[in-house]
Amino acid sequence: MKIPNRSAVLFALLVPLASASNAAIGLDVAIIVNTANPTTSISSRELEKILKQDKQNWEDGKKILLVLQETGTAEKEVVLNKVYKMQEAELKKFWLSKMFRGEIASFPKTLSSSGSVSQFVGKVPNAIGFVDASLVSGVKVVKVDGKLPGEAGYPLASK
Amino acid sequence: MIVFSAVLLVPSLATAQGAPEGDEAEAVTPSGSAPPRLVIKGFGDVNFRLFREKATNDDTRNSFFLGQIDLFLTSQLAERVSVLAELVAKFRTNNDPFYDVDRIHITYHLSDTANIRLGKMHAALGYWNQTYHHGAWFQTTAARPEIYLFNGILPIHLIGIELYGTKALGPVDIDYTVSAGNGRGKTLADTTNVSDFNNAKAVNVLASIAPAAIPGFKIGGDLWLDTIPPGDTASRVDSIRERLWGVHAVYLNGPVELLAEYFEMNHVVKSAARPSYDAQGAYAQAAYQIATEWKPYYRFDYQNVESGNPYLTAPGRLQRHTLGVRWDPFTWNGLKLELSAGRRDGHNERALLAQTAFTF
Repeated sequence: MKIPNRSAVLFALLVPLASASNAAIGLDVAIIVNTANPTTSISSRELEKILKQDKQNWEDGKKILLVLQETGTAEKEVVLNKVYKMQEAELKKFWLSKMFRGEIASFPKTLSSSGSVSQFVGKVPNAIGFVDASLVSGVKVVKVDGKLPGEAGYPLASK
Repeated sequence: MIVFSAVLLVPSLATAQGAPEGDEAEAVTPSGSAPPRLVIKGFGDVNFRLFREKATNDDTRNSFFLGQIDLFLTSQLAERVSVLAELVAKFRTNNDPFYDVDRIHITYHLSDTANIRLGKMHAALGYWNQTYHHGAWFQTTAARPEIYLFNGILPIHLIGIELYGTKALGPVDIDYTVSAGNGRGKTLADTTNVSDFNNAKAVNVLASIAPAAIPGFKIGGDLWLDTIPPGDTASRVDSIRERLWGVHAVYLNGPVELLAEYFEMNHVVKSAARPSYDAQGAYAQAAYQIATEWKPYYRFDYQNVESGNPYLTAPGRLQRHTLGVRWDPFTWNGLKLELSAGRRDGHNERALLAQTAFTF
């Protein structure tokens, strides 16, 4: 068997890394709700309250069901940096503290990918989640501070 | 003990520590008719205290000591109904074990602005009592502020009913809690779990404001009114009217942690002479997180109980400085080392406290 030379190995290793890095750098995270949800736009302050479970009810009184993504996804990193302003370990402490204060009964539901979150939100009328904006399907994208993903000044853009 | 055993015998209902991840099986079937799921967490701490000087003669030996073993349970019964329980085991200074149901309450989450809670709860006083209370892992420091000591001067539990909520009003968020319950017992050590000693109920109102312009800042105040029942000694034959008010300010933003609370209380003995006694208590704490794992901190404690108070009979005047550092080698464990020095009723106190606090 022919052994590949060092340059070929390096190229094979670096291309996927570079692609992943570019994807993370250029990622817009969309806030999604069920198509039956009347909400079309929220402020970044409201979004922070919802994602921190400080606000647990929609304007029509229905309970908000928050669904997060697992540790390590690019979408989660953007939300940690832009909304929670915490690292993953701090977020876990944050949820446990909220449980201890009786504000929530358990950690929020967590799914593994944008596809899983989209599928869940698409089936649950009062759910809200965040996904890679390029992978939105079967759900409604909510404006944040009046802007949609891809628009200039969108608050959940990784760039 | 029976309660602890029962909990430990139903591991199948418990969930693992940490955020549930990869929960794909439940992804498309949220909250059906399945029975409530019990979530169990635990908190504990192990300590070593080295005294150099101490004002009182009790408990002055250098000792390793166990803190509290706290089993914390929650369950979502329905979309808007949840239960929380906290079972605590600890040891008195004479090494006798002591078990307590620290909290058990059911909460009806009606809306963001109105929630009703019934049972035994942490009294809605200031900031520390509801935020940290048991579970030394939560608090930055190893020791609690003097005013929040168990059997200290503040009523830290309430058995009764609580209405609480939050409301955004323009640029500020307003939180409130209104509660009524059994209140104080005959002595500081009494908790009126199943029987009050009088018909008067304690009433408490807490409100705080968080301006959106200053993320992490919150300021608030509270008022507690109660009638303390007569005691079993000759000096406690009359009821005591208790009036307590406090203010607190908190700033938690990124690495910065600033906490300050002040309480003022007045006790009037309902005798013919109606003698009146005042007491004050406060603390101010500052901490700054460095490189995510390290957090040096400082706290000043103050307490002043007017002599002769027939209910607050503990030593009266305390000023103490505490300097320490917390190191979190990983998320669920905090190692703390703190030095404290101060004066209690004219006597010097100096101590070193080392603690490992964890959640499991």
